[in-house]
Amino acid sequence: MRTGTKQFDFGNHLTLLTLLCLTALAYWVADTGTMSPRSSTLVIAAMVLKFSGIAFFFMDLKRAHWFWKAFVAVYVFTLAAIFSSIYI
Amino acid sequence: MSDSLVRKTIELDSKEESSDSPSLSLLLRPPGGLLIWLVIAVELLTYGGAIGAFLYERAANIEMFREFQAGLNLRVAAINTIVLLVSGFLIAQAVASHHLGQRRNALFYLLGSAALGMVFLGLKGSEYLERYEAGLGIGENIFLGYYWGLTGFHFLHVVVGVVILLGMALHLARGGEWTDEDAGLETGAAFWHLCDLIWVVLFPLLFILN
Repeated sequence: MRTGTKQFDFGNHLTLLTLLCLTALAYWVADTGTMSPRSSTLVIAAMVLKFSGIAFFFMDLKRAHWFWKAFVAVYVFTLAAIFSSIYI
Repeated sequence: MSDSLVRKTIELDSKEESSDSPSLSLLLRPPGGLLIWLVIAVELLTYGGAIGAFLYERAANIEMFREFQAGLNLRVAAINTIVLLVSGFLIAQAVASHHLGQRRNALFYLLGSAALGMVFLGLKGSEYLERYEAGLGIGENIFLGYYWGLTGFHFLHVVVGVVILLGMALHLARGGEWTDEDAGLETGAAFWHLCDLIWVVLFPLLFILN
């Protein structure tokens, strides 16, 4: 029996839309001129959100053990902290 | 007396097992399987080290890094980011369709994801060719060394990912199935998402932040 698309979790669609908007935002910020500390903050925040969106929603990490969630979160926030200390 | 003690001990043990087992089972079975997550962890840590080395070298050659970074093609990189994100979405949809028993949809999404992977390779390949013909090869300077190294290693991952996606699509088209134990489709999808994760970090690092 075909179940149709109504049973889909539309979380993936919302995640994609968010990821595309964040990419467009980062591109627009970079394309409009030199990077200020504020625009660098925006780009780094977009990176963290995109990384987390892919890991937690596309990879379905939200239903995984806390260890894997913590690993991903610590990794991306460490990168963001290092980037922030250099570029902001 | 001793019988009741033994019974109580068994009850306590079984209670401990029932509270520990689900957590341990969840730890050992992340989406896609433990092995692929160990691979993902090692890959991310390796990239972390390479990014650290890039930033260390940048601190010593900041003007040169800025000059060559400005020469990179931001527009193509942004398009490639979008291509990979949509491809990641399609593979996530393939997994969801497969769970719902919609094999044709899963196959359609898998093929779409692989096609976008090939678009990424085509765009990146043409950019590599352009750079190489302009004399901006891997050995030209330290920035280009890192640029080629970081993106080239990612490029190889995408090549392997596309082969995996096409292999899974062929398996599905031939009527093959994956059991929950080996988690084949989710495992391949997790590897493909790894390519997304790495690119999402490389895009701002190499093309935007200066």
